[in-house]
Amino acid sequence: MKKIFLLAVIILCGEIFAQDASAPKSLLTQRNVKLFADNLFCQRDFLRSIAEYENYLKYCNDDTVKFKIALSYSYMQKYSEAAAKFKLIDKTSNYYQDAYYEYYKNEFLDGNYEVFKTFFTKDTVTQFSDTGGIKKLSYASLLMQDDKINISEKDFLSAFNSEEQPYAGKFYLEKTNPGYKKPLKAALLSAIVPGLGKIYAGELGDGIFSFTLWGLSEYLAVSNIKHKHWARALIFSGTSALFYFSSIYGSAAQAQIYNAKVDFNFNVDFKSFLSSVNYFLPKEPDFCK
Amino acid sequence: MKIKKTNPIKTIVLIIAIISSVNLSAQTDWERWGKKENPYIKENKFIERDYALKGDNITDLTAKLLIDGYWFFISDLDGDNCPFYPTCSSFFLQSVKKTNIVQGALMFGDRFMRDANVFNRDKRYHSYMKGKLYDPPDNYLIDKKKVREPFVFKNKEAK
Repeated sequence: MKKIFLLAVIILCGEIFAQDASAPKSLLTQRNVKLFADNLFCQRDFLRSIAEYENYLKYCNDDTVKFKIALSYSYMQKYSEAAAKFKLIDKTSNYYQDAYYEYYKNEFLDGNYEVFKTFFTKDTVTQFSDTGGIKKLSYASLLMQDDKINISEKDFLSAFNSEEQPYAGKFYLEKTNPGYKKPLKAALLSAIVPGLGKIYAGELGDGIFSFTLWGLSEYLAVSNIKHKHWARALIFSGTSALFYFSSIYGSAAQAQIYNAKVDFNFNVDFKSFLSSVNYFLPKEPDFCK
Repeated sequence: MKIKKTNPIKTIVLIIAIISSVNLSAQTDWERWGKKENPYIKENKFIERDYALKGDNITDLTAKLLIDGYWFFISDLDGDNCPFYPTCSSFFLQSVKKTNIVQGALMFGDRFMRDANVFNRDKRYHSYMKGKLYDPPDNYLIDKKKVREPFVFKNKEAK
């Protein structure tokens, strides 16, 4: 009887002190959830940190957490979501000014340049003293758009300080004189000499091979016509025609690829410059010091 | 002093009972702390080789019939030799689908000539699956907005 009693006591002790399914609930205090989310945030596990922060916000209205959620989206390069979240930060919040800058930064990164239109007027006044950054960003947005720039270099550079002006001037010149290749010119050159348009568009090897293949098929076509081998003559004439017209088409396409390359390289260089100056805006708060 | 002998089986049963009592009701709520599915996985939009005879119009259907014939009678027997992705035949098919039979044929002719150029390929094209060179028809639609960035990025010269 004693043994049974002892056994029962031991088993019951196990039951009482065991960590059962309901135990984690006691761990899920608001404080713990926030701590866990903060840890995930600092580990740069932003997707999970957002989920935990959202859980936390069900119980507490916390501007810091809202800001961190927006920042997480921004770090994940989900710029439109980030901008929408930054816009939700209340004006009374301590983070409103940071959110204000981050909102414009994310709109810029998202390619939504419409929001910067209001900053082109010289008398733009906002609630913050340090609005020069956003004005610079709005001028920078002009270089990111496909449209032609309608303002002079002098006006453009006036938005930047003396340290930034050499860089801004360089990018302005690159944008206004991008050094594109003309597809029509490339096509015409290839119409004169197959492959010449490709060389003009920067592909020497393709140009030489185009000319060689066309020349070979042309020679075979002429040779077979001379020897009255009509079936072969027809095949090689067709091939020759295909190579000739394909060379014209391909040259125009190659010129557009070259232009896309110019645009892409410009965007990469300009974005890396903007990133190096943090988009002319104050640095976002560091929550993981 | 007389030491009472204990039955080892009883001891083992006792230990098992204790351990299992804890294990049975231990924390089972792993799901909450586990990894979540990432909803940002990009879909693969590339068209794979498909023998089904289908097309939106007569030119698509004709091109598909031609390419199916080439695949079945030549390509499948000859082996996987095209250095590009998509292969030249798939490139032709996709070009016709994206444009029309005339433009598609010109794009194919241009690809065929580029295929002959064996120099500096690794500098011009990105490596795709199985070391194939990535060269999509989108790059040759004479529209710089449709040129895919990876192709261009590879061409970027070090500054």
